Amino acid sequence: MFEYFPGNSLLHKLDVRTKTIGFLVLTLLSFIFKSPLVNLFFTFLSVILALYSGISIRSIIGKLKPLLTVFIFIILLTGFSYSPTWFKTPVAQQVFLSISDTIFLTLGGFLFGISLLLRIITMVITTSVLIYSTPLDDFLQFLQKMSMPYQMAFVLTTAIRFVPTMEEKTNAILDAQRARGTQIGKGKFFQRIRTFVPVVIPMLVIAVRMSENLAVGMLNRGYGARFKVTPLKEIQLAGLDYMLIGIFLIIISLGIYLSRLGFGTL
Amino acid sequence: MSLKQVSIQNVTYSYPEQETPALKDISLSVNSGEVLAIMGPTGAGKTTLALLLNGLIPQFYEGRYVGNVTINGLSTNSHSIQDLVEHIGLVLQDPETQIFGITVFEDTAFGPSNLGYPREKIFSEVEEALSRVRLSGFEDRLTSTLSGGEKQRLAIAGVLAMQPEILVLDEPTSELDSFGRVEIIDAVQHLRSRHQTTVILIDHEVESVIELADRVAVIIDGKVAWLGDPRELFRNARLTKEFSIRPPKMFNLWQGLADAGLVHEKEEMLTVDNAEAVLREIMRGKKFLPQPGINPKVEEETRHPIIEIDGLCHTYPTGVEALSGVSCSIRQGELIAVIGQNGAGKSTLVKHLNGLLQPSSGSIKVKGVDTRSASVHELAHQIGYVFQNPDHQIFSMTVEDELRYGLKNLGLSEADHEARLTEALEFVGLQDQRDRHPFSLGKGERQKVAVASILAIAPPVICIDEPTTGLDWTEKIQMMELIQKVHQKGHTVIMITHDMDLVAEYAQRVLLVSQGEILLDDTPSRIFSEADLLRKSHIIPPAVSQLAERLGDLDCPGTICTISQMMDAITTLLRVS
Repeated sequence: MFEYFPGNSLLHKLDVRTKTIGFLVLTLLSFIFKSPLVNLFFTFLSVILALYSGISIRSIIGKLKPLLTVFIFIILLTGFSYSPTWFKTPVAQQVFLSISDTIFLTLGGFLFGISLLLRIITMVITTSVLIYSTPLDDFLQFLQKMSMPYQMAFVLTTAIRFVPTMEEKTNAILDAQRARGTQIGKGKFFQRIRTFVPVVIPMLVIAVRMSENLAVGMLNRGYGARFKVTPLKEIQLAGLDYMLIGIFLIIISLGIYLSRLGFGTL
Repeated sequence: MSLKQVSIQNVTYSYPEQETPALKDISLSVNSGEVLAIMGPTGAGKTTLALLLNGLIPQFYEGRYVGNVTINGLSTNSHSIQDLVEHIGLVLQDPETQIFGITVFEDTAFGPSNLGYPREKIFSEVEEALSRVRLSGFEDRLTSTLSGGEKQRLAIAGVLAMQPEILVLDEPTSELDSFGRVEIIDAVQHLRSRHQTTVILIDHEVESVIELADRVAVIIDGKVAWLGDPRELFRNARLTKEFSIRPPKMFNLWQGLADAGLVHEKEEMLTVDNAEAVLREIMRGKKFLPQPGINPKVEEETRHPIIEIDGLCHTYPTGVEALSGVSCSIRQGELIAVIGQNGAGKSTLVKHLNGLLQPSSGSIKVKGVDTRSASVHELAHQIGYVFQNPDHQIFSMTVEDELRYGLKNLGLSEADHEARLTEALEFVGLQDQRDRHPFSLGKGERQKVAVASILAIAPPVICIDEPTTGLDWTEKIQMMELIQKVHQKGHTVIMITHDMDLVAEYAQRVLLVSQGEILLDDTPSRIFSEADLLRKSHIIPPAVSQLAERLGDLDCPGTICTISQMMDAITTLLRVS
């Protein structure tokens, strides 16, 4: 899934706040413009960022693949759910196919569906870029700077850190039960629920035991010894960060202005 | 600094809702700079003792506690755990729940930053701690990509970065392969000789204890049953038997030699070094006789192949190629050991047999049926799989129900259930535990429940993954005897293991897996004579094989890998001359 990967790219060096603002700006922009062309540009931009930070095309495709049916559903749904009057441009108002007086497939709806799809893709990719290039510790400090208590921020980030571990345990349990002939999720409704019991119980037992061991592990490492914990790296905005944040703000204002003028609408 | 760094005085402790105390009026002290080993059967109270040392008992674990523990003069009753961590560092068995950072650097820095050290000091402490466990240069590595041995060393570094003078290690090597174990021993050796760190080491492995410990304390039933020089303990067969400690392999050899009247009482023979010297003395320059070919492969060809693997490759979705072109056939009634370093592909290989994994290319046929055309459910009738951790499968309220579950799943006729249950439980010796809750049993017994739950299904092939991990010597022997009994009953047994002594002693055939391929497929004797290939695959051969290799200049056959083979070779030689 999403995981931090140490590296030396510019993205790795930027402050977590700069990256978060950039992420928000890109997300906002893709929501402002309805045109698929503009959104395609944003997707393209995010792919370039991903490649630059060292994420492979293969892993991006791997992340998007499970969403394929959702994507097709979105395009179909939007294609049928907007009437021509909803759109401003004549191109988008074209009707492909009318089934009845109230249900028709508009080109605009279809295009808007594609835009929605591209928005999702852009967000998935930029989220991975953000997480891929930012250590958890940075997020931890960011949350603290936004005056979230350290303990709460720690719990949050540790939970993320242990997702892969729990995944591994779940697979081990699934394997062990399947080897004894369990057919998970098979049968009628109640039977199906019952097939999960042999997986859920060992999971709970292991989770409880693990959480106790974790608590011990934390105490062994002096967790809670001092009121103030030394951050490993004080997050600090450098000149480049200020510059980029400035640029991001200009871009978002420009974006809002352009969309007011009617650029990128459907 | 006072001489006695750790002092436990008359501590009695019972866990909450437990009648019998886990520690009974225990007193023990550890001197500055010494390595104290703690041994004893599982459930004797060793881990409880470790939890006592930095105040986790009584501060984190409740229960009834009396007595006093002082660390560098600080009482654990009145100083918080987090204050004590700067004096005593505790590393527990499972590195997984002791690693908090994404990178090695972040993780090592977790302790010192909790203690609020200034940042410059954190950097220097982390550097120092990593170099002490020989992980310098690993700073930016992701903790999730480390090997078992590296993870355990990282856990030690994380504790060392808080500069404790005392280090407590609770079975640091029990989950590791032999190579990982050597890594940890080296790291502890280094700490002791270079940094005079006081170490308290809980370990089942006699060889580690001989190498490291100044003193050993044997804990039985929550009490110190014996305390003194480890060599004295291991030389005393009566004591090791009483404490269910495995005597060193070389001591067993010494006993054989003594029974044959070849050695004197005084001679010490606990390590391979000792044994080499003693044997050279006995041989007085004589050479070993050439051995007739051992275990020729005759009858094998006539036996019917039950599993055929052909050009098996497996690539995980992450892109990691775990198996690259494995071919072999397994015949009915064989007892096969699959060996190899952690991550070599052993489990990946075996998980293909019952269809838990499907080949990326190549094929596996079980009794002529391609595993791709059968479900895991169907294959479960043919191939039983006992996993390493019994707790990944146990979910029932009684042992009996746990066994019944598999029978129901596979739709075996209800009328048979009773007979199958009784037979399987009697076979593993759990007939009296039938109505007990599985979690109220010890680890060794839970492992037996897992084996019984597969035996009840009676598949012709049984795969067992690491059956002896975390068991003490008595439990280990019981488990291996059980496996041998299963084999003699006619089952084909495939076992994955790190324990080379067990492989030498019990296996008929060994598959050495290295980097996704079967590097060697032969008898244990011949496998263990391939010293160079083993080294390349990070396998440390059994002590007897190491001895045989060292005596190579005396023409000692490299195929000798068990005590009885060595004794035979020596006695024939001496009889002839």
